[in-house]
Amino acid sequence: MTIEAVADLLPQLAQRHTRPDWDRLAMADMFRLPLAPRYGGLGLAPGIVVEHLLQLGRLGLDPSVFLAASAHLWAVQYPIEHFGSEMQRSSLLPALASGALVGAHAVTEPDAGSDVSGMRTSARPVANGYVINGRKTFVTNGPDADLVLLIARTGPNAALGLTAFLVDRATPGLELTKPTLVAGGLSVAPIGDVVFDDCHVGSDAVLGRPGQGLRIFLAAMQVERLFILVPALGAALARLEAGASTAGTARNGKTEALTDVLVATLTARRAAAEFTFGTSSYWRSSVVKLSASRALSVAARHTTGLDEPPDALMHAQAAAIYSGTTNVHRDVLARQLGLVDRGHR
Amino acid sequence: MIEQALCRFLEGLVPGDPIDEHSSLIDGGLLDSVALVELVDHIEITYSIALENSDLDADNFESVQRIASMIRRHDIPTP
Repeated sequence: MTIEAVADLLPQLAQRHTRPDWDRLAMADMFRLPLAPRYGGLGLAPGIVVEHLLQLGRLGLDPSVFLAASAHLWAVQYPIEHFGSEMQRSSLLPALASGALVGAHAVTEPDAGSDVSGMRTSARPVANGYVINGRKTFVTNGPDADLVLLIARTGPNAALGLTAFLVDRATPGLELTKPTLVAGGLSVAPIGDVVFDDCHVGSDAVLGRPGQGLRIFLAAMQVERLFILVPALGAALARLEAGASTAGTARNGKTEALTDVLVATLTARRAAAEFTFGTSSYWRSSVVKLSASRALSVAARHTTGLDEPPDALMHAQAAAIYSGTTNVHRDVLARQLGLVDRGHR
Repeated sequence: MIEQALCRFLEGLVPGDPIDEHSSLIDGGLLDSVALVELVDHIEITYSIALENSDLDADNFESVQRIASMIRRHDIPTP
């Protein structure tokens, strides 16, 4: 289905579901873009995925739906495709790719933030599986999740003692809270806590191998941070192109905004075209995220009218925080540039 | 030789002073979490082995010498 055809369907779809923007993205095949064809995907290379995401951004959806959709696609579906067993892939990927199943990636904790070395949620090995205890917070899609990709501690070492699990929402001992964060700019991205209370899962719930949790988390963040703001760049380009012609200082501001958005778009295109997994290129995703969030902020200031709701402005502020705050990305770049003392990493 | 190859790989991963087989990698702060994940990836791909949960203990990664010993405990396919 083409994007134009989806756009024609929008008014009908809006009447059908409580999450119409999510369904629109599913109908536009967003979740199928990078997925291998044998699981129902389109198998597109990262450099082509970027072009589709820029176009999806022009559909005029609430910008925060792309936070929900990106968490689902890049931090749940993508890791399952790349680290999952064949059983996990064949049973989960088609339903995730259609948007019928909603995925959530649970890593942040109340006392540790996204610092995985301080993670306390534990998965204790028992006969036939693990018993999980702990609380995850700020989980995008948490309240709606059918499937939770959890990173939990299975050993003492910060890097090697983490394991990823796939937990069905119906599993006894798993509680999904109601939305805990209702913030400006995040109106259609439900965010909540995920609580594990003696939650027993089988050994087949492990994603990848025990001890691979940090590897899986980093792989998920590498793609999520690369792609998460690309639709918003497409939306910003559409707004800047559509605005009335201006003169004087207003024109200068708009030109500056357009330049920033185009530079961020080119950065995303280049990073996606040269995409490879691994620490040697993690930093590129941070460059894209930083560049995009900065450009979106400038664009929002120059495209938000005085008499309209400041959605783009509020989203631009939120975009500087989710999927790694600006400071997190600066730390990644400092590490890449050798600006971090070795003994204090 | 495994030790020499690992030293060269690590020197590329964390540029700076030369690394020998006794350098303290974790306690000495040479490898952060991300670098450790990259090292595990490198070992699994280069030597065609799958490290077990019992291998993923920080003690096994404290020096190149210990890493090489761990690798040799696996059946490394001959090229």
